[in-house]
Amino acid sequence: MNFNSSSYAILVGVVLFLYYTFREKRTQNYVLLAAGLYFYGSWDHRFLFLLLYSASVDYIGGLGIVHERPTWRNGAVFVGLMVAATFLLCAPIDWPALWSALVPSAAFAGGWTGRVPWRGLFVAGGNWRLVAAAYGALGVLLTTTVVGYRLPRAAQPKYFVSVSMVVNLALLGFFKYFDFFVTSAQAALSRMGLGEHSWALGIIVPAGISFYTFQAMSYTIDVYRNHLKPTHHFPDYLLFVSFFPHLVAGPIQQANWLLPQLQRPRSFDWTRVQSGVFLIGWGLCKKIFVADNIVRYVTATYGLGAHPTGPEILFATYAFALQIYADFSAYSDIARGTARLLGIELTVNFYLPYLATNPREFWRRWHISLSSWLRDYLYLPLGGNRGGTWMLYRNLMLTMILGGMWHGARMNFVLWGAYQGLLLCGHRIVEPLIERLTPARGASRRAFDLAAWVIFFHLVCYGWLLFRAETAAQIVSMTASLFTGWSHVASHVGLLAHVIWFSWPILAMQFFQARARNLLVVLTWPWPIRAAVYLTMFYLVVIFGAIDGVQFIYFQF
Amino acid sequence: MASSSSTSSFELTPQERVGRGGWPSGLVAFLVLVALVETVASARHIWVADMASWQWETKRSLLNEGALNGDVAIFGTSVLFHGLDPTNSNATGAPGRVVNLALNGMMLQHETQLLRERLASPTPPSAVVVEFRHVSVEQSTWISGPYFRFWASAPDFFESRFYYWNLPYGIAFAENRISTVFRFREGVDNWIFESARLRAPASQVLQRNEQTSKEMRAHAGQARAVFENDVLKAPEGAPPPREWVSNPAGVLWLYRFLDLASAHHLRVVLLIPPSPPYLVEMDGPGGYRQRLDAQVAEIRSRYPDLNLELFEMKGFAVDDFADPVHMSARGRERMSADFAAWLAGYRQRQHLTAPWAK
Repeated sequence: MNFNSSSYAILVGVVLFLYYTFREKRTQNYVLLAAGLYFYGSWDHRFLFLLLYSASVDYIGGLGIVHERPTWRNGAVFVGLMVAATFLLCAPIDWPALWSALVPSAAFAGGWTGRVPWRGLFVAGGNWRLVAAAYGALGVLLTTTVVGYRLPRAAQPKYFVSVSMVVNLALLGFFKYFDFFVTSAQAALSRMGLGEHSWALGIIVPAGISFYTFQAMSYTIDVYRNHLKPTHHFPDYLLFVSFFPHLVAGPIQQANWLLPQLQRPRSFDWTRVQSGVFLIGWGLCKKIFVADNIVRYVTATYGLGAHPTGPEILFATYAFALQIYADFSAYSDIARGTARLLGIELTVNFYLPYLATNPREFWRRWHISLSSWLRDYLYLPLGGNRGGTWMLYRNLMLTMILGGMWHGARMNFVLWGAYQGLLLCGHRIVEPLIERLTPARGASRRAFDLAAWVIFFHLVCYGWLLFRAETAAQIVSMTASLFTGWSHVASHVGLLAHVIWFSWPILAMQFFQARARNLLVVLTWPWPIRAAVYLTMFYLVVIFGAIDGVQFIYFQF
Repeated sequence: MASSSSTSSFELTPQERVGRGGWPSGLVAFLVLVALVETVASARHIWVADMASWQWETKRSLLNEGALNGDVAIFGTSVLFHGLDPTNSNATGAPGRVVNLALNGMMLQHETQLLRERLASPTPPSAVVVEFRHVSVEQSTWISGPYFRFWASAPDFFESRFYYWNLPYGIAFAENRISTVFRFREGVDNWIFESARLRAPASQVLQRNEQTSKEMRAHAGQARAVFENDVLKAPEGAPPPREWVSNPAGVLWLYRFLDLASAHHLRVVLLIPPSPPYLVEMDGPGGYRQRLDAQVAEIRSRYPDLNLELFEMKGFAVDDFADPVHMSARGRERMSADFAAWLAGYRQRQHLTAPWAK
């Protein structure tokens, strides 16, 4: 279910109606929980098992860390529900036939489909291995829990946080990286003449697994660090993981930020609601008008089989820089806007990133929730900048490479992460020199800043080339072609003109946002200007928007 | 979290400040402006309406003003809409006016709804000619084209039972009815850029649409196809088979159509349009002729009292076709003439005098 779909509009409408009908916090949370599970299950109901399993591990882990154990009654109810949910989600139940049997005959008058004949509850010859594996995983969870509570009290916190980390990383590793590493190993063996193998499982990556896994890990780590008290109420914890606005593409919320908001009563705040509506509208404009229109120019150049020249690569990379920013920041804005309608605040994820003049500043503005997570749960535990220059460079490189790999199992994400690490290290090296050369004030300072911005923006764009390329060979060929074909640059100006036409709203908005240092600057303007801005946004989407419901880029991560 | 400051500015996050929420004047003004734009667009959409939409709209206007009242109403798809000009039939001076109610993309369920509407009017037809090319209703035919964009009323669309399968279609249905600009978004997009290029309001679409209206009015609802000067070429290699397509939803809607006709004692003609001569009718139970005959036999047994005739148009040459389905200009002329001749015989057989008795 995409944010830019009618289904999402209906879901939000129904949720808002129920949410503000039931003013009691606990009931509101159940409404949000049901919406989150429906939202996630709309991709593939079997993925819900993963979400439930991951949440169970961390919920139990959180309690185990502080030596709290559930009562026998609660434990039995929890296990019973998990066993039932596992069966419903993983067994090869013939849902289409079941649904078809329940639908009145009149439904078929529209010619939507033929009635699926009732063939019994289960698909004939259905795959029961999945349900067996799921019950096996439940068994592991129960065993590790029982073992944990039997350990000496002093060993329990480390044990439970370790179990949580291992399980989360194992799930992430299996679903995102297993096929990648196996395929790479196969290719290596094949090159060494050790035969052809085919071990890849063809795993479908569950939507948003990187996002909710990192979020779940932040919970157990925060509890372990004593930054957060664990929640005793499993539905609250499950809601923290499955809160639908940010479930599949962030912003990644750290537990100590979101969980307390879910545990206290929320009230209707007109100011927040207005800003939420604006964020949703602006997000839809960025997604439907900017990102989804620009994508065709990017695809034409970055598609395999294309042999673009330097100007085409440069302009298409500008387009991709704008596309990925418009697309991802749109998702974040719609997520934040939706959450605000519910009285819940999600952290800002983008703060004018392309205005950065150096990599350190860029990472304080780009995908802030991920960079904050990496800083708090990876870079700082690795030692941060304590331990000398080389340790600093090592930690930066490790953090950024792992940050790159977080996006997925492809060599270009690893290269992109390494490239970002090198930029950060390089900046640390040249920073004293830059500071010495920077004019104090006046026109020369402005020219210096402009030059720094131009240079750094193009360094960022080269990073996007690494990120967007389909293969390593394409990276090499595009890099080599960057300096060719410039004598015919005039013939490609049309491409640049199209990119500018489709990105002008974002460029204009950034200009005003940067000047006011306020992402909601529009809401501070006089009402006639606000109305004109809303009207422009609305008709850009209605007339020129690509309304085909193109999926958000970060859904794949 | 948020904190309020001593000024009227309110900090939602460190990067976001807004004025304290009051009356949403900007939002209200925006809604008023949208209403204004939509009103203007609704009044002037002839400038931007695509041809298919305009043909449906013109048919609706002609129906509303009574210009398409007739004794013999032709129902069908683009094949009959473009290919069957009632002028030939009406020019004979014989009793019983023929009108063309067919439209491109009009399927059995749409025809049934339109027949229901015509029967409720003060001047219903007394005979209906139904295109009998295939008997199928697919889900896509509910949610595409001018039918979905503006023709269908909410009760019409509810008959698709869309709410069992894809509730969001309801939103798309509503969007098309609320916003004229959205409904003609491609036309508006083209008009804006064309006007910018010409540095004046582009009027080609306006002129084309005005011409279409005139043509449909003059030809009792029929309009020539823009592609009618194309000429079909027989495919090389093994000739493709002629197939009879029928599905349960199609049969259901055909029966609904015939139920209406039967209840109102209408004469019904099932018109099988011509097909390219190179198509081969295969023998056996799955062959075209056997399936067609079986379908007709089933209809006759279900409606024993219905005044039903089958009219199959045959003997057309390859260059009577613009494509494997639609007629070329030559084919249109011949099809219209053949129909007029057949109708003259039909009148005699049925002993019809004006006004036609039901």
